[in-house]
Amino acid sequence: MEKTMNRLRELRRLRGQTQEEMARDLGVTRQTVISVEKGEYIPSTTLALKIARLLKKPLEDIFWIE
Amino acid sequence: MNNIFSRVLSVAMIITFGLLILMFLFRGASTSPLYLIMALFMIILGAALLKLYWPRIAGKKTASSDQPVFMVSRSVYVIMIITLVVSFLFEGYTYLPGWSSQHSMENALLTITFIGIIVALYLLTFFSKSIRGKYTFIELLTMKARDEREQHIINTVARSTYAFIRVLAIVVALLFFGLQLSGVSFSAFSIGYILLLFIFVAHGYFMILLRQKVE
Repeated sequence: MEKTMNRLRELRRLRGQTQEEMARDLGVTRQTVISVEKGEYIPSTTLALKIARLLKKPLEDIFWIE
Repeated sequence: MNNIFSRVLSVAMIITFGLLILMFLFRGASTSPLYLIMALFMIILGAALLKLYWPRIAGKKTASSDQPVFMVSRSVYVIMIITLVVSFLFEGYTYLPGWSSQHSMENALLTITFIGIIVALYLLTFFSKSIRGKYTFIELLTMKARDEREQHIINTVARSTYAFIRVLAIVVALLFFGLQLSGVSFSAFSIGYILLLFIFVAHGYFMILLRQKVE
């Protein structure tokens, strides 16, 4: 079964950002950031694009399907 | 101007609530004044909700989550709703065929207990810390969250609730038809209680599922 994976936690730590700070920048709750990092929640297209813009990375570098 | 309107609404609601209590305690043979009070209560409630939703209808802005609905604490609001339900019960059961001559405590107790269980369940889930910490009162009332993940959870839970209530409505409707066919008649008030109960059951079920998702 296909699963969506991501490198959000790794990229966030590279930026030196906390989950709280990232959540604030994205306009979501900290729980949402946690859920996305754990792969428990797949973000909407809009949120995924916001994440890519924040991290200054292409979408495919952050999210992929296994 | 908006603040004055909200405060007037809130004061009117509290006064209505007080009058409702008095009518409930000192209810005489005539029930017309009580219906008038209840109708006034519903009009005020409707006006308050319209005031809350008007910015959205007018396309200006959505209601903010910290916007107070009635300028009173949510517990007072819930107590008002419970009083309304109990008042309907005490008023309406005297109109049920065969019951008005009995007025036995047993009958009233059974009905109140049944309603009380559902309302207590509603209150328990509504005031649950796990829900209060994650969703505001407005978010639960409008089922519109600020965060997309929380909105996704609400949507999923709302869908399950709708499915449950749909089945419950069919079962209750068939029960009513079956009882009517067998000769039992129901007053409009009995049907009114059931409809009102559906609101509590639906919202209670919604919040039980929500609590399971957020915990």
